[in-house]
Amino acid sequence: MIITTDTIIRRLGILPGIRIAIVKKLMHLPSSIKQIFVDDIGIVSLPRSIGVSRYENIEYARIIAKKYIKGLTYGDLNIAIIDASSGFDIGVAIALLEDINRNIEMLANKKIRLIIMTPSINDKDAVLARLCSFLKIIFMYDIYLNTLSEGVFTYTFIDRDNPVQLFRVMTEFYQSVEQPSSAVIYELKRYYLPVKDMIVLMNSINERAKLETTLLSMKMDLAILNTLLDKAQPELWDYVKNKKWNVKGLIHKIRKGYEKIVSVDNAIVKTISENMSRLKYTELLVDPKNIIELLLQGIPYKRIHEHLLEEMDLERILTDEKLLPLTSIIIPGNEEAEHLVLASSSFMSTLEKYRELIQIYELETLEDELIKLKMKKASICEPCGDQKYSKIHRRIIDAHNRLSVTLYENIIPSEIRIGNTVIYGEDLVKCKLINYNAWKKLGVEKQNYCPILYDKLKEAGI
Amino acid sequence: MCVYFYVKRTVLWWIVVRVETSFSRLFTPGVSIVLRGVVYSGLLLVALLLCIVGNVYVGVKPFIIENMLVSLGYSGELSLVITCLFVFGVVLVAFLVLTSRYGLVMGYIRSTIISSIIFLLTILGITWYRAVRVEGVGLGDAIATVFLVSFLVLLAILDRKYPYVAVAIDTSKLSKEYLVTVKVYGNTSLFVLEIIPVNSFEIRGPFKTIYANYYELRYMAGKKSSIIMKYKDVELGRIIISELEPLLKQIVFRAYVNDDDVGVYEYSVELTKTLDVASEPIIRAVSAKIGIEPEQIREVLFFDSNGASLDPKIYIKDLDTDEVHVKIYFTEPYMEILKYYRKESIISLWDKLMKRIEIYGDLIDDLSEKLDKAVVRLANLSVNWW
Repeated sequence: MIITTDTIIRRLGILPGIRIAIVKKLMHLPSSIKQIFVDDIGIVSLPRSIGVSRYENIEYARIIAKKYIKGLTYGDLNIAIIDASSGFDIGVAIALLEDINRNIEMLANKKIRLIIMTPSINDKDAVLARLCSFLKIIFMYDIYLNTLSEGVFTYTFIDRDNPVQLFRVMTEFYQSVEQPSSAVIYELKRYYLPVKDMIVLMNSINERAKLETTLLSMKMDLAILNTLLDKAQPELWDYVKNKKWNVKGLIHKIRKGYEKIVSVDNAIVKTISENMSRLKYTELLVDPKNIIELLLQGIPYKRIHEHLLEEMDLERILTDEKLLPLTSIIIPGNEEAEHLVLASSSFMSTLEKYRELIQIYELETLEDELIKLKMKKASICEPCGDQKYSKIHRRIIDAHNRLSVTLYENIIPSEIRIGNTVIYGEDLVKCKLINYNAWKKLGVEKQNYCPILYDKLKEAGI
Repeated sequence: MCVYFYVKRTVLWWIVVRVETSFSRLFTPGVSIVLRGVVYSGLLLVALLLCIVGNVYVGVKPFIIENMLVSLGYSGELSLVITCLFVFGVVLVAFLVLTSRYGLVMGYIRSTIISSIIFLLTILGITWYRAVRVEGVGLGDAIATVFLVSFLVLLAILDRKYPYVAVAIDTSKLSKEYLVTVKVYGNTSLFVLEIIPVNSFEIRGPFKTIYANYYELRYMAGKKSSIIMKYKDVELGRIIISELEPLLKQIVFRAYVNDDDVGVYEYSVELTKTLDVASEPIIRAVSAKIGIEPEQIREVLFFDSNGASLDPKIYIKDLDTDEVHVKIYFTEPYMEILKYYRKESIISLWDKLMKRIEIYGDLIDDLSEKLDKAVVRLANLSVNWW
C-alpha cells in the first residue's frame, strides 16, 4: 500500500502504485486512488502559528489527521511518500506512525517505508527547524520499532532539488526490492535510449504533414466549387440552393486544422530545443540521429533494440564509477556504498550476464533506460563527531537550536506515544539526532545522547 | 594608341541627337585595311623579288621539293615549274581559308602576311644553304640572317597586338530611322557589342556582305546610351549617344488575366519600342498584383479595341490604335483537376466535389484528434529528459 499526500501529488504528479492519498484540499484524483480528505475543522483551542496556515503547524495537522486516518488498514508493505518541507505532511507522517504504533501487534510481519522529500538547504529557518524535530521523532520510532524487529521501519532521504523522476523510480523500486536499512541516495547516473521519443516525434511530424496536405486539397476543392458557382448556368444555383451547404463549418474546420498544425509545431520545437538540451543526469546511449536513420530504413521497433544493444558497450557502462552527485541534506559518511542498477525490461536479456558484476533490478515502469545508483546506509549520529557516520547539514541543527521557546510548540508536537510510553515535546528538544543504524553501533554512551528515550525504552523492557 | 573625338550634332524637328565617338584610329578601315594592306603587299613584293633573285642569280634551290624533284631525275626547269605551282597552291589555299574566317579584306591581308612569311623563310633557307654548302659565310649572309629573324619576330608581335579588325560606324540614320550601323571587317565571333543601358538599343545581325559584316542597332528607349565595341577583350572604342528626345505616344493598356478584367493602365511609350517590350511593365505589374510568378505565365496576347489581333513585334509608331488589350493567360493549379471532370455534367461534378470535401472534413477531424494526442505525447516525453 502506498500512501502519499496532496503536497507530493501536486509536486510529482500521480506516482505509480499510489493507493491512498491524504489531502487537505479536495483534488481530482483517478478513481483507483482512495482519497482521505482532512478537513480543517477550525478548533480554536488547538495550537496555531501566527501568519501561516494552520496546517503548517505539525501539532494541528497531527491531531486532525489522526482522527481522519483512524481505521486505516495496512498491507504487508506500506510506503509513505511525504514532503518534509510541509507541516501538513509531517503531521500526517507522525499521525501514521502513531497509528501504527497503536496497532503494534497487528504489525508483526508488516513493513513501513518512508520516502522523505527533504527541503532544500536554502529553505527558511522555520522549515529546517521543523525538519529537525521531525527527524528526531522518526529517529525515535526508528530506534523503537527496529529494536522490536529489525528492518520493520526504514526511510530514504531524497532531496527536493533532485529530479522528480527519481521519486517515481524509487517508489517503484521499493515495491519490488527488500530494503534492510534506511538509506541516502547520493549519486546517480542514467543511460537512456530514446527510441520511443524518436518514434513519437516522427509520427507527429508525419501526421502534421498529412493534415497539411488534406487542408490544402480541401481548400483547392472549395476554390473549384467557387469558380463553378461563378461560371455555371442558373440550374446549378437552383440545385445548390436545395442542398444545404455549410460553408462556415468548413472554414471553421480549416482554421481549426491550421491551429492544430501550429500547436504541433510548437510542441515539436519545444521537444527538440528544450528537452533534448536539458539532460543533466542522463547520458544518451545512442545519438538520436542514428535512431532516426534506423527508423527511416523501416526496421521494426523490436529489431531496433536488438540492433542498438548489440553495438553498445554495456560492460563499460556498468563498471563506470563516475556517477553524478545529487544534492543532499544528509551528507554521506564513510560507510560502504551500495551500487545498484535499475533497468527496464528491454535491457534485461542483455544484462543477464552481468549479474555477478553488480546488483541489477528490473523495473516495469522504466522504458529503455538504465539507472545507476549509489546508496549509503543512513546512520546518523549528530553528537558522535565521527567521520564514519553520515552527517546532517549543520544548518538544520543550528536553525533548530536558534528557535525561541515560544515557537517550539509550532514545530514540535506536545507529546508523542512510542510504545506505551509518552514523550513530551520539551524532552524531545533535548534529544540529539541519532538514528537506529548509529544507535546499534554505540555502546554504553547511548544514554548520553537521548537519556529520556533510553530510560523509556528501558522502562518498556527493551 | 591615338584617340580622337568625333562630335556630330543633328537637329531635326522632333529629335535631337548628339553623338560622340571615342575611337582609336588604328581600327578605322583607312588605317587597319588600306594602310596595313599596302604595307603588307609591299612586303610581299620585296620578299618575292628577293626569293626570285636568290633562286635565279645565286642558283640555290630553297624549296626542298625542288631538290627532291631534281634528285628524282626531272629536269631543272620542270622542277621549278612544279615547285612554283605547288607554292602558289599553298598560298591560294591559305588565302581561301583565311578569307572564310576573317572576311574578304581581312583574309587577304592575313594571307599576304603568311605568303610573305613563306617567302622570307625561303630567303632564310637560301642563306643557310650558302653558309653550309659553300665554304665560308660572308658578312652579308650573317646580316641578312639577323635582319630576317628579327623581322619575323617583329611581325609575330605585331600580328598578336594589332587585331585583324576594322570598324566603320554610321550614325547618319540615327535621327531619322533610329538606326546605327556598325560595319565590322574581320572575325565577328570575337567581336562584342555592349550596350549601356541594355534596353536602349536592340542589336540585329551580324549581316554578311562580301567585304564586311554589319550590325544594325535599333534605338528603343532612353535619353542616353553608350555602345562599347570590344574585340578579344580589347576595347576598340565607344559611341556615346546623348540628348535623344524620344517621341512618346499615350497608350491605354487594358489588362486581362485569364479573361478577367484586372484593370486599365495608361502611360506613354516610346515610338521606337515594340509592343511586347512596351507592355512588359504591365505584365509584371499584373502578375505582382495577383500574386503569380512571371514564369507561370503561359501566353500573352495583344488585341486592339476592335478585337483584332496584334503582332507582338509591331513598333509602336506603326500602331494605328490608342488602346491595346493585353490578355495574360496562366494555369491556376486547381484548374488542373477540372481536366479530369471535363466530360461530366456540372451537377454531378458538384456532387463529387461535395463528397470529396466531406471526406476531407472527416479526415481533418481524425487528424486533428491525432495531433492533439501527439501534442500530449510530446509533452509527456519531457519526463524522459532529465
